[in-house]
Amino acid sequence: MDTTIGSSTSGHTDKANGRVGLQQGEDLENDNFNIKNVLNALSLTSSSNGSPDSANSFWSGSNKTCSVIDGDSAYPEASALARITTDKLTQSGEEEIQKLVSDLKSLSVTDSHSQSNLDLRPEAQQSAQNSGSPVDRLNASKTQPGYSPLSAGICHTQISANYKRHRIVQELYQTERVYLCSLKLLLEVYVKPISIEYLNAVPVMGFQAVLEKMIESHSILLWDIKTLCSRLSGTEFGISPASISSDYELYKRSEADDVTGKPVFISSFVEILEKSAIPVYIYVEYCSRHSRFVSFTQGINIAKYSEKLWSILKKDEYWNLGSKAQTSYNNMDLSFNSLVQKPLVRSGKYRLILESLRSAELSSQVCDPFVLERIETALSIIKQQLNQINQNLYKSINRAELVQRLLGLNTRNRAILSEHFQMPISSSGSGGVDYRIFGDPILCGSMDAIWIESKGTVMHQAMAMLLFKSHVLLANSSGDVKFIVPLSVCKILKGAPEFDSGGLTLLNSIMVPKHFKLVFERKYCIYEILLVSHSLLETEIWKYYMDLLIYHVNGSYKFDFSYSLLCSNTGFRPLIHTPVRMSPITLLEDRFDPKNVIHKNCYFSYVFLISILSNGSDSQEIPSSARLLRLNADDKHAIDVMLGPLRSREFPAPIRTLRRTNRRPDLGFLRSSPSWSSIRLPAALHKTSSTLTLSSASVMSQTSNGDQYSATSSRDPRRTLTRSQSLRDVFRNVFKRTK
Amino acid sequence: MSAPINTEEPRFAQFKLVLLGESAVGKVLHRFVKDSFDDFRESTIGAAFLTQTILLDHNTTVKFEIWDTAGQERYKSLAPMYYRNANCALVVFDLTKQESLEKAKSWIKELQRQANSDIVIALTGNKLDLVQEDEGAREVSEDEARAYANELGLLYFEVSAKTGQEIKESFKSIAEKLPIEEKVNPRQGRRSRNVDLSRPNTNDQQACGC
Repeated sequence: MDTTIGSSTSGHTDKANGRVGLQQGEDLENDNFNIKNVLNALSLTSSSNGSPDSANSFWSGSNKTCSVIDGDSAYPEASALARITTDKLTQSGEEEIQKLVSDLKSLSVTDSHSQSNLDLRPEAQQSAQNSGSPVDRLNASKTQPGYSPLSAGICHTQISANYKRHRIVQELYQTERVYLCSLKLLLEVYVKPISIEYLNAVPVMGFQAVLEKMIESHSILLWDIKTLCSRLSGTEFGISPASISSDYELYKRSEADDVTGKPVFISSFVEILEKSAIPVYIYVEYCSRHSRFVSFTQGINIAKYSEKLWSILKKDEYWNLGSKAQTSYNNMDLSFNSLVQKPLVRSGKYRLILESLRSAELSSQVCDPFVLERIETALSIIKQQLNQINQNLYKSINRAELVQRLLGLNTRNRAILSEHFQMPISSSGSGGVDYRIFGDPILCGSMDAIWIESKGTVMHQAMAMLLFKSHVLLANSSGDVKFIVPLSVCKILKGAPEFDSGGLTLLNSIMVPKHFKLVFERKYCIYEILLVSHSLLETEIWKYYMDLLIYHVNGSYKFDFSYSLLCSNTGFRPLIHTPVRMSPITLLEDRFDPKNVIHKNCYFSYVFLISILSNGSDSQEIPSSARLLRLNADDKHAIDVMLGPLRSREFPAPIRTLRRTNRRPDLGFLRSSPSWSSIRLPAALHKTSSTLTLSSASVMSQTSNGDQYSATSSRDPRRTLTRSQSLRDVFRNVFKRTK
Repeated sequence: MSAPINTEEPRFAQFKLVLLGESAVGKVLHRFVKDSFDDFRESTIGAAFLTQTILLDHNTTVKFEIWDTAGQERYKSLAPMYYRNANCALVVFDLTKQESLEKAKSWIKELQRQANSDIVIALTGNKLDLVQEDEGAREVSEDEARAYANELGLLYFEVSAKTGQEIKESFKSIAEKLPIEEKVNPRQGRRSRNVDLSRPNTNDQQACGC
């Protein structure tokens, strides 16, 4: 790992003054070149991590962690930036939508637009024929009634199995084309534009990844059916598909003449359906993400995205059917709600298709037992797949909703997102983009954060730390979000050797390895936060997850200011939030005037010595220049209580303090208690203390190596007697449990 | 003197209707949309939904987007996604089977618990033709079912999918109960009053004109 912050291949590090700068004239003028470079770099990052494609890595199943944590695009910001750039370059969205609408129009007669007009007015039956409404006239011009044996006076039971089979196969084929078209429209009209506008929205990114996979899967299904038909007959279904719906010849054909009557066709057909029609994992993901995505869209103006579609539809009389009176787009047939719901219904249709096919086979004069058995098998597999979808939907609680309840109701927190997305804050507290945008938190717990603000002020606060797929959030005990850091532009420095670059430096970092640094880039500045935990176990868990998400999910970043450059060039505004007065550890000199406040506050040449007071350290050994910080177990407890069910189970259970009524109880008096020295945990208990669900005595239990952080102020010793007695009782209970 | 209000201005509103209940529900759908049982004229199984347009009066057009659950309602995890954002639900039971009414009641409970608060629910007894032929075949009395519907503020119909009896009338009654004015002109609708914004909103598309 780089030990020098900001070192890069494209820039150079000016160690004389400790600032990083690009070479003269390099790249800055040539925006396109820069974008290309950055995109290439991002793609290289992807491949170097062994994850060639975000969706592939997720769906391949090789990276189980990714699928568990959220299953979104593996390099969300990278792919998002790539999308926004390519969209600017191509502008091909409208042509694609136009093509899809045109395709859908040609297919719609057999799908959702089998409209007929039903005038319930008594006088309407006659008048409709004479003058009629625009709806009537349009219907008359549009409807293309197909041939039906029933209309020809043929008894239902006489209709050949061949005809039925043919219609079923053709129905599947045509409705599959419509379905695929609808999915693509959903992607092009709604999901893609939303994901571009809300780059960091995890519900959107995840949904888009699933939708794209679903389109790919159904394209293969359609292709397979088409290939099967062509291979067997030379053309689709033996005759032109366009003529099937109205071709009386079809009915007159004998079963032997038609390709759909052949056992090999039916067997191959049902085999394709059972293998490709319902990719269970995609549908499980789709159904699981459906609600959250729809909830997200309720906070934004979804009608805005249909404008492009509406402008295309308005030009075509066909799509204006029945909607002449509309002043706005409310044609639900292609509305967001209808399109987004289609996959939920479609999965059940394959079962109906197979049941119809079985029924047709049973009524056939030459019913083949082998074919019948094959259909039965496929039917049972399809049913099984539907059951799997039903059973495997996410049953877990909506943790994103809990985050929203915890942080989203705070006005200051809402203002952060409102400002970023330039949306007004509603007085009711609902609507707009909220904290569900980050998706489900992967890890939640408490850490003490230390950072530097202007004039070298060392800030220290106990924080709730929430790790998401693409971001990490830090909020204080009042629920105010202090930091939002995108994982795609950050790294962690895990130990003492990596801290040599200066800045926040722990004196006792070897003795107290319960910390790491979070370093991130924002607007040509590099910032650092020192994060200290109360126990080694918690620190290791945090490091593991941070490492996984930063380097293996989001992709490592070179800290060469290319991200800031890309943001400047594309106008992309990353979702980052820090305290206003926070000082950077370094910055890109070329971009700042020396008189700039940020430049002045940059503390690269300084070292802030920090000493964490622990059980084994003595304040007398600490140099006078060092800042002495104490971690307060009660602050940690307050954070743990605040997190409630959000707190991850990976961490040891939260430890209750003795004074529950006080929000920040001070247990410092325990140090001066005469009974203190007599209460010592046995060695056996030391080993297991981190895994015990202790109901008391935070002072002793939070460490596995005997360290303990607590305030040391002395209090009235007269009060300690009763406290120590109660403490003794508590420990007696603890000993009983350990036995 | 104020200018007369143009009452001839055409009005168009579209609503999502979901069909729930026993498997014969699909027939009701066919009867309504196609006015026949002819399965061979157009595809119906594969269609995601069917649409039907009703001219309610001389200048009001109501379009139903009818979603048949294709038997998916048996999968409890998926069912709520079907009736999300539905404006109306047709819960069908068999007049000749008492247990089908109990099933319908459980659907109604679920709809009232999880669907839109303003959803219009119509409890519909099917196979009226059988009951009319032989009154002994009836297991669910009209009084019992109607009393239940009245108690919960539901619409109640008895129809025959086979003969088409009362089908059109039932859909017309549903259309009349739907908030057409709210759809046509959302600003004058009920949404201007106390609205629970946390609930799924079916009218978002009309809320902002394009």
